[in-house]
Amino acid sequence: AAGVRLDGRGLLENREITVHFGQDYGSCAVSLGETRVLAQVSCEVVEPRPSRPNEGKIVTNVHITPMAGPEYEAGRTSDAQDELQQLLESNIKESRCLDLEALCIMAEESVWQLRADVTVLNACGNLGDACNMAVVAALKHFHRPDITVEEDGRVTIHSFSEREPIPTFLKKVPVCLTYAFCQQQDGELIVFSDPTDLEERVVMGKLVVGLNPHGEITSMNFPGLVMLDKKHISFCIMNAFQRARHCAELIEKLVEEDLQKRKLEVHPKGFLGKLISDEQHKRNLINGKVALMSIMSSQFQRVRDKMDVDQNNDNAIKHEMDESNNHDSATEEIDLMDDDNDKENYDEEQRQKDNVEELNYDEEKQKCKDDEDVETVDDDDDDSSSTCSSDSQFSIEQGRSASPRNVATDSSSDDSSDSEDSEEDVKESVNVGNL
Amino acid sequence: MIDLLVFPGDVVTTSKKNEKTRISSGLIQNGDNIQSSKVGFVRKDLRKKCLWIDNHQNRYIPSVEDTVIGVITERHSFQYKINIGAPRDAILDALSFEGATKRNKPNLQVGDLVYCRVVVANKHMEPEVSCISLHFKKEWMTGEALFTRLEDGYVFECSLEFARKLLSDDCFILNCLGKYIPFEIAIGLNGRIWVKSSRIVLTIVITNCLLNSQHINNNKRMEQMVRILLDRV
Repeated sequence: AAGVRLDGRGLLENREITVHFGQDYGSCAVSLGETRVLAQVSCEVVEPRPSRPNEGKIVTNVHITPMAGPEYEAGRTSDAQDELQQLLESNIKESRCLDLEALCIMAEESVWQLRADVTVLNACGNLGDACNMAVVAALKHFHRPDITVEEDGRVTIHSFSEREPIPTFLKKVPVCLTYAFCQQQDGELIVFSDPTDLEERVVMGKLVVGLNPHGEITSMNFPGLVMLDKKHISFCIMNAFQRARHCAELIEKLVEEDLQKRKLEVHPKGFLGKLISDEQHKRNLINGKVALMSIMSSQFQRVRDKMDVDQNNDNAIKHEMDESNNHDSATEEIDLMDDDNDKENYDEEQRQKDNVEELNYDEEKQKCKDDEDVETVDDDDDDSSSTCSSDSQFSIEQGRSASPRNVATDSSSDDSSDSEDSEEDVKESVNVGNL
Repeated sequence: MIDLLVFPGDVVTTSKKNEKTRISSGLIQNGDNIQSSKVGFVRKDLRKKCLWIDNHQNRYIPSVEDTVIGVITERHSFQYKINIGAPRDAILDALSFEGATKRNKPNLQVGDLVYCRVVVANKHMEPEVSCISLHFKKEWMTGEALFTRLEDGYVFECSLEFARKLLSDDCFILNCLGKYIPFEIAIGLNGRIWVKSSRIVLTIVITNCLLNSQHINNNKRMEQMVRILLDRV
């Protein structure tokens, strides 16, 4: 009723999206806050459909096991599973986002069939978005083996070491967004996006819309029991179009990053390289953000003092902003101090900190020679200097001193460090801020 | 023996003839030996004067004299079935409230939250809980009894050792929050925490502070976190 959500997000704010890629091409794990989904794309040669002899096939499969949550039974009967299957089919198969004719080997005889298997690892709300994003990212990441067709029609599939694998071509990037509706006491509907599982249970109905940044709506689904007005639907879709671009760009950027990294490494580490327990991740995140925010608030205090001194407020702020590195985040902080919102801010501060961390991470990347896994240290001191040393040893965290307890060299040739990786504090290098 | 890391099957101590050793969660008696059934550290509870095994766990196994928060699932003529997160639902006798008689007893509904105390807990029987306190003898009508129905507020779940940490004497986060916000809190050893404050927004702030404090070791940083979250309200 107060317009506050349990985790402090705004009504139209989405949770943090993290994408990890595995060792093989086409395997990716997407985390949308606590919701975790794993997608794996594989391919095989089959006969094409007689009605479409020139086109390859794509099959999507969703598996929800009790691992996802205690409310799911073992057996393919849950509603959620049917919904997700349908969602993925319409979003990916029927939207024709994949260039299926490129998957044809020999017309009427053999074509590639891509198979995307999605497993829900943890169901904490908004499975549709997560599954869709996982499949799309996996498809973009996937490379299929190269083939040669002999004169007599035999097809030889070359291994990845013989010939370079061929990437799949996604014409459009389908994005799925979920909006939930809750009815207030006065009959008005509240719309919020990206519901968590607690919110989903209380919500009256949802609108799951799949679209792509080109402006096409690929699917629309209304689970639940809610009477929607035209204005609600159009509001959601307008909002969805804005976000779709962000999502698609995000996926493309992350896939590109990972593919670039693969070129540098001899043996891609995959998921193991970023294996970090939930608790460690949260610890790093929260400690880092609290440290960051307290530094920022002290910086902001200096700005405010200057504001009192200076007559022209705008100039003073701009002057201070140009000096400090935290350009975007400091102006955001000013906005928040100005307006009178009741919003609880657990994830608001996360969003700001993510932005700042992203900026810092990019800077550090340029400074340091090795830009592989970044490590954070659980320090007790709170110095306000961040240092970066070369030789592939560095600790990153704005506002922390560089006295790393656990530092590992991360060159791919050093196999001894691999076993220690899981024990030490490793910050995920593909940690993207909130959109 | 105290603070010793044990594995299942390790003998923690042997029972001596003239001494009584009270054992609690994680310890089982095997003849003369007291063995551990969990991986964890042996601790001694000074208040209850018993030995128990400390580990990270989310699933609650009831043990006697635990204070827990339960949700009523069934209502019968003379008892309530109450969910305390244990493998089996517990039984709360309808008259186990201070000063309750057949004509004058509290009227709890399905879905009500109750802060109560485990009276019977072993693996063979259904656990039993009661709202009668041994030390605070306030009648249930006054509304000031210790074990009672919890009205309004918000319940969330956490790990068992976080609940124990909050109940310890030197819990920093609760004192820190108390400096800034007046609030009411009930901590169930079954990993459920009930929070109530004057405004919903404050309740959410408190919840998030508590959840965040699980991951922060530094007191100074905890204070910073609380202040950051409160600044926005």
